[in-house]
Amino acid sequence: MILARVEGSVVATKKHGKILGNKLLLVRPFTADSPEATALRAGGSTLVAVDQIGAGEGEMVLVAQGSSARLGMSDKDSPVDAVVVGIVDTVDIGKKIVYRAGG
Amino acid sequence: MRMGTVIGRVTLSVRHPSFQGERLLLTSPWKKDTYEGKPAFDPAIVVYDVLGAGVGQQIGISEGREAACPFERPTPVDAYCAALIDEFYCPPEGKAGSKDLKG
Amino acid sequence: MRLAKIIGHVTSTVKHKSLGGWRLLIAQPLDGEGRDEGPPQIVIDPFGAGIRQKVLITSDGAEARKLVGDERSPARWSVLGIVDPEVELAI
Repeated sequence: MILARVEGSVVATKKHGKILGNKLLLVRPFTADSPEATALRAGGSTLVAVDQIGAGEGEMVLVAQGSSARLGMSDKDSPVDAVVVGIVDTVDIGKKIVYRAGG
Repeated sequence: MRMGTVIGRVTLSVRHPSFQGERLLLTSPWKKDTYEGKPAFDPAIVVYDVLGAGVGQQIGISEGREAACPFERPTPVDAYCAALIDEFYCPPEGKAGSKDLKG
Repeated sequence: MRLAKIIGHVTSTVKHKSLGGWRLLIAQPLDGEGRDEGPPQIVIDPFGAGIRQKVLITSDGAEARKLVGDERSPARWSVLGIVDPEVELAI
């Protein structure tokens, strides 16, 4: 999975039948470069992920990608390759907290 | 599986209903250079763990749809800690006979 | 499927039960010219490949699960064959 920050939502009234009724979020990946990293950094390739757990703009989320993503949908045949699987509370590297929700 | 070094932990405040008591490891995947002792890693990813890996531990990361196979019910996981690596033997090019145990 | 070169092996005591008893080799995928391409993968090896040997590996998880005999295995990459050594053609 990857960490990502919610940057907005995507509205598409006309869409594939199997994703009707799902909220779509625009998220930007965040990562760390090595065990010595002292902070998370923004990555490239903004992506769109299905959200079924109510994440909001500005929140850090956990996103599952690829063919595993559809396992998070109630219909396992959904044409979905990224799904939000959690809202992040904390991230630490070593013993140091580098992200805390609301902090 | 790719080799990775656990660099930290991620906790969630809200989770997908299929996640239960999850342990999430922020992990730096290895490149070829990492096997040769260089401090170079691919961008960190989040790995689902049931084996109890700690920070600094080397692990084998199963990725893709296979990462979700160990779960009894459909769980959207795309990176799974399949092994705690005790040591690896990776002799430098041209010195096939030399023993270089690390871990 | 990919061409790869075996560059080492790993040992692991604590692992998914389906991986018990298997040789776990480190395979470096190669391009058509024999250059490294992408990160090394830890693969299951039923053929007894040795260090520096060129092998054929597959990311077909269904094959890996069949090999280890566990439908719940997270195994993905396995060795499919050992590539014959290149023979210098003397003309």
